[in-house]
Amino acid sequence: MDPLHQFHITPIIPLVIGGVDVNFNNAALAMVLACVLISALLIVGTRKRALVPGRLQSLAEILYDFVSNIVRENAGEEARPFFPLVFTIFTFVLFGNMLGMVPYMFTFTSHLIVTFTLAFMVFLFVTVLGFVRHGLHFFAFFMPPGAPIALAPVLVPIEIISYFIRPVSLSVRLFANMMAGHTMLKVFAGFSVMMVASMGGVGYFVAMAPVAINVALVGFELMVAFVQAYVFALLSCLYIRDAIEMH
Amino acid sequence: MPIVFRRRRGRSMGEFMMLNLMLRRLPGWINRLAGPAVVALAIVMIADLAWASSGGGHGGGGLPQLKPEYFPEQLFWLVISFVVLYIMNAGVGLPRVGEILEKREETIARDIHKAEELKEGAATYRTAVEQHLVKARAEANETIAGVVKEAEAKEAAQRAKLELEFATRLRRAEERVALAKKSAMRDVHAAAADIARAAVAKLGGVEIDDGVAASAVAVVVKERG
Repeated sequence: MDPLHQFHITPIIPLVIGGVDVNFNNAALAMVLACVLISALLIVGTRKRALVPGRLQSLAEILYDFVSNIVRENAGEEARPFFPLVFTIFTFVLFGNMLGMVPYMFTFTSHLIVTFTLAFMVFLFVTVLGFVRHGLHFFAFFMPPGAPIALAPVLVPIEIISYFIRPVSLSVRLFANMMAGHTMLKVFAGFSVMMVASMGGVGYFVAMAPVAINVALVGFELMVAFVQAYVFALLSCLYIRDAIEMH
Repeated sequence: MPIVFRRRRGRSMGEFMMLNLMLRRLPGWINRLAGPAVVALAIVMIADLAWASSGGGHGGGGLPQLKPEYFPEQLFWLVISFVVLYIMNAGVGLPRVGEILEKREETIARDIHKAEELKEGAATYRTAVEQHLVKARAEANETIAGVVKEAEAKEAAQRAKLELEFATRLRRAEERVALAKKSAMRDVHAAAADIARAAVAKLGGVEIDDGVAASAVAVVVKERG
């Protein structure tokens, strides 16, 4: 009855490289599956290159349009070269979240190490981009323009902290949402099981109440799965804009 | 193949149609999903029961997310799958979708352009036809006028000829009548002279010659008109 059981990593194919365990586990399976599904949608879905798109091609086109709108509206026209990166982040997180909604599938975005790595990658990318674009002038990012110079000793540390907190907030937001949602689903499912176990035949009827709540929760979690992927991509775009435009 | 970055055009038609379609089909989906959902829930409940009765997992304490021994394998596969996905997206998938979208916009633009050209051509053709019609009408009118004029001229000529002929015939007839009248008058005069001579001879017993009688008749005819 452990609601956290679903987050356990279980190796599928044992693998050791350089003395480090890199087993192909249930998380890796979900990641690879997400990769395969996204690539299949984009490549197999568009194999006809139809002028009037079919279902899969429509889906691929809508996804493309959707992400391209996010990038243009939040990161600006100059962020065009980074569209594939944002697209990859968005689809990877989205499919990770959505695959997690399939019963018995592992939700790799519910692990902080995964979301933190993704967020830290965005953070590194944005920082490098800022320095490549603006050189050492990028340090001026930590001093808000127009603020009196006397306030610098206060403002600069605040700005620096808020800059470095970015990967943390970005990753914790996604991880916490996914973990809390899935735990809640499991807890309510557990109520049903407990009711059946403790009340026998009557329990089957009483257990319908948590099941009904779970149906609503599943709908809610589907929305959260989408919204969190959207937020992740959106914030990545805003960070890219900061690096390109500096405030 | 460069990634095509699409222009701003608000909410795309595709998204809107998709939303609309989803809303309309939602009740049907729920209906169709209800059966499998109940079955799935039942399976989950039974499976959970079985799992609970068997003693419940390996019972490892603490959050699985906070176990560093699993970090390397997650990182390893995360990096691999993310990099592979990026390469697939940037190298194959996205250029392809971008190309399709670009091609569609091109095709639509080209078709609209073609339609406009055809429309223009049709307008030009129409003007030409109208001009042609005007010209043809004018020509027809001219031809009709010519034919009418010719016919009138012919008729006039014929009429003149006929009138001339009638006039000639009339004159001849009149001449003949005059001639006949003249000879008749001469006969009447001769008869009158004879009668006058015979009357004079019978009444007066005087024999007068024809000349005198004729002149006397002429004098009387002259006197009486």
